[in-house]
Amino acid sequence: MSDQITVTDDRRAAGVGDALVTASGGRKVADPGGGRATGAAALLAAAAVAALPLATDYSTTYLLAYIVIIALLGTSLHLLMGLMGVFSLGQAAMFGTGAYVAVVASDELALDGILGLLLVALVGAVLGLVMGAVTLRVTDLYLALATLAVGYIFENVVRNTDWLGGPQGRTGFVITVAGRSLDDPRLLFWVGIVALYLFIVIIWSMRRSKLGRAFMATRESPIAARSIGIDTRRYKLLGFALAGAFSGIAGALYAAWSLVVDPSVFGIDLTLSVLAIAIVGGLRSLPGILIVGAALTYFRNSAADFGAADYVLLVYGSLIVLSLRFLPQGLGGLLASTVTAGTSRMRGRRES
Amino acid sequence: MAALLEARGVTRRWGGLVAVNEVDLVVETGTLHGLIGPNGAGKTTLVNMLTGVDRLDGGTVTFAGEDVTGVPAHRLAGRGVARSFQTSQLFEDESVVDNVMAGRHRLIEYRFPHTFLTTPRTRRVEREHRLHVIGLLELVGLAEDANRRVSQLPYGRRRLVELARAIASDPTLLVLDEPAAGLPGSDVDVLAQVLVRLREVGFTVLVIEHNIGLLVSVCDRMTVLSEGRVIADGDPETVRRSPEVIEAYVGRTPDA
Repeated sequence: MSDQITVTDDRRAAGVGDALVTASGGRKVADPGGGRATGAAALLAAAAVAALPLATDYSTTYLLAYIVIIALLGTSLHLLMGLMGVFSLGQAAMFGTGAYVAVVASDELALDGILGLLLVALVGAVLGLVMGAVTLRVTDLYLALATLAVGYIFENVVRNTDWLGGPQGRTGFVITVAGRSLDDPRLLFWVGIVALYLFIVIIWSMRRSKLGRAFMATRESPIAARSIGIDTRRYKLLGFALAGAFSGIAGALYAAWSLVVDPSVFGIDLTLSVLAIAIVGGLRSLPGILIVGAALTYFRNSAADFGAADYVLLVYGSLIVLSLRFLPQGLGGLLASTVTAGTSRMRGRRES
Repeated sequence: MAALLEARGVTRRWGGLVAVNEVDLVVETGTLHGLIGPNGAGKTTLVNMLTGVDRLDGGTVTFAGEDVTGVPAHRLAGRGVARSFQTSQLFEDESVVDNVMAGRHRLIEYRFPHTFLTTPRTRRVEREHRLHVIGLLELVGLAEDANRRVSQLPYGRRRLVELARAIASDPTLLVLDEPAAGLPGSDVDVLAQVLVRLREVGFTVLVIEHNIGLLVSVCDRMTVLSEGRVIADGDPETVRRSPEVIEAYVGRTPDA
């Protein structure tokens, strides 16, 4: 019986294929990821960004390293909020945990950064899984509050754990990668950029695979998603685990960057400033988030040079209000519509 | 003919109200089976139970010879039960192709690490399925709209997208919940043709409808539900002449 069904299926597939060849002729199937030229341009841009520290002075490189850490967090928000539609404020808990695990791994376990960062990613992923599992039944505001609560719980636990340094936190640790200390901002930048590029490649690949569609379906209509065989819980957990791993790495690099970890790494401030970046950049747009993340972080750190230090928060707030009013899809939405308009103009010219 | 889907004594209660009461339903392989009944008869509730969306308060469901009572929707879909919804459940911001591609989820397999790193293999598998989907869109007359966003489509076309997404999973059983709801007359005729064609290429289809007219002309067998009970079951002509069915539809109930 089942053999017969398979035969009909094959015949149907062949029939559909034939219909395609005769009817669609040379029409091109739109590739969501863009062509080879875009890929080459992206590679060049990535290489140029990675080479930046060769041309900059110490303090600029130090700032670049910080921008990469913010970009890692922004990318994890893009995954959770943009692609999966999960309104999570749990990044702070993942980030703080990553920072503390990195310090403990180097101080207590004497692990080199390569193993240490793997451990951080693993712990972050497990924490993400737990947060995902705990919040499987809640959505929207409830999920935001539940994930936010995790950060507060961790902050209080760490504040009261003497072994981790209590309220003062810890200093004087040295995080090394392949035997060299991460207090060299160039090395810190490069380690961060490797993690960031890896994360970006994973996200871009997922978006172009069945995984990206499973996230999309789970976000847009969980009922429909399940009706076509998508186990929505599994994908939610997977997204949380990935976000946890990379937020954890961001936290570990932050510990190496700031040379001190204290319970404030679990605070909401950082999450909120990254959330601002994600909103202005566009939650669904990775390029938008990366560009806005770099620009705003640079502005914030150099505001004193322009004499604008007192206006940083005002500028952040205004940008959020302006983008919510005029660009609900953020800068990324603006970029996308410009690109679409451009390609359709080009296509029109080619056809005429 | 073997029974593909067999429901026995299926019951669902909403508080004191028995929405679906001891319903038996047998869908045979290769048939176009109509499930009809007036509004509020319990059709959608029954179908939600059969497809794992809602839980059962009593009874058993067998699919392809296996007991699937209480199996969740995504697992049932994995075994080959696809369905459409009465109220639109499309992925609004996505293109028609991507909506329908999502329907092929269970058939796309490229294994780790090809999911996390786009490799030539990922591209090849994606391309094969995308071509299949384009062919499917041509079959249901959506080829022109392939790259348009679903939210930009008129109502009738959106219903077709939903149908195409369900078909895309190559299901053994296709369950359609009121596919004709809100369609203008001309589109209903197109839909009837699509239904007949689906059966011809080997699908087993269960169609839910409150309008008896559409189904009488195309179905092999019909089950009529009224107030949560089966009041008639058999070939369309017999069902249409059944006094209980006439009563339920025309409303000459002595004690109502």
